[in-house]
Amino acid sequence: MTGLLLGGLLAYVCAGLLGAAAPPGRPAEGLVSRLATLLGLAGAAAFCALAVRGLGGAPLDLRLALGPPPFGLRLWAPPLSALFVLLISGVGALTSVYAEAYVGHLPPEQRRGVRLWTPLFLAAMTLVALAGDVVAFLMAWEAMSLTSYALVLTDGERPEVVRAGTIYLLLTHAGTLCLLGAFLLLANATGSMDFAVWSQAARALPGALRSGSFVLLLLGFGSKAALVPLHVWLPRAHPVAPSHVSGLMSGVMLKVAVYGLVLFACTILGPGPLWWGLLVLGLGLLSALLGVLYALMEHDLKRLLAYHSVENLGIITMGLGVALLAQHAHLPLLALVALVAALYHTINHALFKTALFLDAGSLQAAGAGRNLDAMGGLLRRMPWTGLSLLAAAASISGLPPFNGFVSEWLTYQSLVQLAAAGGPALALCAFAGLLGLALTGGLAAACFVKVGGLALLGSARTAAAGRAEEVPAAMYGPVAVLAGLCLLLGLLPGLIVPTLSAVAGAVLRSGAAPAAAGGALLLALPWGGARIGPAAFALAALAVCAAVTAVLAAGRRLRPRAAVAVPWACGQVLTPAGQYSATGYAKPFRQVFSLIYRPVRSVVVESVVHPFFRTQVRYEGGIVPVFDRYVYAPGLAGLLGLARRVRRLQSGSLRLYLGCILCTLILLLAFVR
Amino acid sequence: MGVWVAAVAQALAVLLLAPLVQGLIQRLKAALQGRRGAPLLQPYFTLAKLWRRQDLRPEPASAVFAVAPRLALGLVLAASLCLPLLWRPAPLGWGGDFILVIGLLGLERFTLGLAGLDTGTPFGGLGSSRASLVGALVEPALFALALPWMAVAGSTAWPALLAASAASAPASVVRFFGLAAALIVSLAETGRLPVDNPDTHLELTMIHEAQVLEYSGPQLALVGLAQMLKQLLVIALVSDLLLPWRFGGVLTVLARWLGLAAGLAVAESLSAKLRFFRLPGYLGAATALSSAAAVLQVWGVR
Repeated sequence: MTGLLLGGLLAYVCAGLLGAAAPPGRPAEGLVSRLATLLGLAGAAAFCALAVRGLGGAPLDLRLALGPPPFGLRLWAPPLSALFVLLISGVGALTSVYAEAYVGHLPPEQRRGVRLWTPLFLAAMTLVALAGDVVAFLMAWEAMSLTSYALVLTDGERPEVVRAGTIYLLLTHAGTLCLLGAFLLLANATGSMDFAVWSQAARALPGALRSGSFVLLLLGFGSKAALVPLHVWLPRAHPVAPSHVSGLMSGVMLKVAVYGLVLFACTILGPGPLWWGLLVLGLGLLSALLGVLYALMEHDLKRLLAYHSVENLGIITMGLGVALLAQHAHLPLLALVALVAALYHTINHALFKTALFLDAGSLQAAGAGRNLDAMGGLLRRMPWTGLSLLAAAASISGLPPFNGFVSEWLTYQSLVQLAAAGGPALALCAFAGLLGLALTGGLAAACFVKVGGLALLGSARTAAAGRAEEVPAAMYGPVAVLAGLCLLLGLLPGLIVPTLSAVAGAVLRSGAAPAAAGGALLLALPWGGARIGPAAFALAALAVCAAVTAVLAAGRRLRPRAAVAVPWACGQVLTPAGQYSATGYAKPFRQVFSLIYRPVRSVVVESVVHPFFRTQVRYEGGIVPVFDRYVYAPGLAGLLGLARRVRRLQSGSLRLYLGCILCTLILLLAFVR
Repeated sequence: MGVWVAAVAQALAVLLLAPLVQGLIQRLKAALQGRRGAPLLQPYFTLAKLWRRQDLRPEPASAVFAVAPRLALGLVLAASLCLPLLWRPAPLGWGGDFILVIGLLGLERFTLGLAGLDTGTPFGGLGSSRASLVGALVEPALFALALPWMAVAGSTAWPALLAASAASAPASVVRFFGLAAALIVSLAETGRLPVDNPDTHLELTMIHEAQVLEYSGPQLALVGLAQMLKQLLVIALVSDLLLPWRFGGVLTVLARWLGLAAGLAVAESLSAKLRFFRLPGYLGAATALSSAAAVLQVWGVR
């Protein structure tokens, strides 16, 4: 086990260094970078093997002494860590294969950095999941933040990239600060820095201390998981990073925050008061709804996908919230199923969101850009990319028979059970959750009709989109695998539910019976009730399609031959620009949800001599970024004002400084004996 | 094996019945408007006519446009298989529940939305955009219809929902609110006034019709059949979930369906088209009514 761990780490580090050594633009580049990718794959394989063994009941537990007892590192892999290591390494491996071909499309001066930091980023995320004490966790967490920051800055010449990177760095460090605060509280109260000790001792701590650290942890992990209102970095940082990095950040790094939330909220701090669960459920619902609403307004494919990450992390958090509420209400089976729902959606989101970001990268690499209004008709030109995009779009919209449906179904079931078993007050919260989830699903489907329809269907809106060619198999292959996994986990939910319930049972330490899965085809709940077998319905729908096709073919003689016709446009000549645009598609939504969007429009008329002689009419429409303007701008102004006031202390007078030091010393002597 | 035989039999039965329900609604609407109207079997004649016509495909369209109608029909039929329509228990009831039905209908909407954008015309996009908005707002309203029973039964399986509905008093406030919401939802889901106008041929007022404007011949017949089937499915769903007085027997089931279809015709004749941007309030009212019913049910005011 130790060998796998060290070998995997070594492979990742060597992959990074070797990748950085590949000379961009020279003949040797391809060979060296391919070798580096192979090394990275070897690292991912080592960690996959480690995770599979951990899930199979042979967990890793490694202590590295760096001095007398408190100074040391502990790495461990309980089932929860093993699950996340498997997720990080599996998705990471597919992304690495894609990146090998994709990085070649980047400008030469950016390639070295990307090849260096990507494997190190993967290693850092893996170490976060494996960390067994505070020091190891914080070191790995910080490494993860810094490597991802370096990757966001890949195109660091452009000012908006630097700005996005700075906002990301600020928010992520504010989050780390909150984590540090919580860790200090817990370490001080338990007298240990070891997570295993905490999970035994933290339940006996006073309520105020537990709640305080819970709130700090929620802020810290919430800022990484991009929960509203801590989400503002995400739609800025994801679009500017290279696409496979966006895929890794969205599909995998956000999951590391989910790992932290599950570990601390469920295992270490244990069953909490009612308001913990309500807060988490409410934050999840808010993130899900606002995420999808803001996504609808975006025309930039990658920004749109980034907002959908906010939505999906919200859905995951809702499952976690129900688990906390159930733990509080002593409903162990419900807690188990809700946590399984959250973990299932975590895996699903990693699969379909990574696929979507990689597809966005393929479209960009093929020259179609990122703007939905400049695409069109790409399904015919890029069939593999297009099909995987459509499959991932159906998955993220929570439609059967894809995987998003199954995990949302589990979330629905846990909310329904909460309504039935949790008493009238909790039933109201469950109703809000159920209806919010249904609305989120409908809006997500509407948004992905827009993505699929505008990018892939109709005719090309620009010449560049009309010239796009399918990307090489090394790029569409990994995405096709991800899309296939989406379909597989939707058709056969019984494949992974037993594993997930074993993990959830270990996390909750409830000893509840694992969620019953009636064979791989059928998903059943431990309390009886509803069951689903999406495969049967997919088969039925396909059988109908086949029958209709056969009947159509048989009746071919009855009718004239099928033909291609000019579509109806009220007799006008139809041009590609006459197709619906992203703005037009989203306009009804903008009007209906104007309370949230606060749409603004301005019409500027330029004229000469007299207003009658117009030269130009400029129309601009948009929405008000509510959180930037009403939350962050006042907060930033306040912070700067405070800094200005504090600056008066820094006057350059040595006597003042000495006086301050003296006062601090006296205060410390007085209060800390 | 028997399950699949029952599934095929039920699928064929609802396929044959769906145009009849449509014909009945059209006939009743004509009578209410003081017209004689087309014969009761007109939808069958129309489908047969379309079946013999030429299949035209718009120039920009891809395979999505060609596959969408049969997929839509397949999805609606698959959804009908987990409802106990004519067979009890439902043929595929062992593997489906209320949420799966909503999911399959959602995928049908998704497919037709893509097909609308695939035509490369402004009308297709217009129809898709509007249908998506209506769909996104109908989804919570449709889900909320079963909310009172879900909260009691703690399950979304059909037998549990039907048992909870049967256990509730025939003339309760909960049922009254639920039926009012169901009326709104079924008018929206079947594309009828005041949400959409199935008889309009003015492009700017259409929702569903604009989305499928480019279909012709057998493809249009498939789209029409899928729509009629969806109408029957919604009627059956409301009949099972909310109508009181459940007696066994196929004839009773048919009588309930025809009663609800007649109710739809009357409601449609009595309403005028709502402005598109008034729809959120209208559909929101359905969600609110169902939620109120669920709250009353949970708090024991029955």
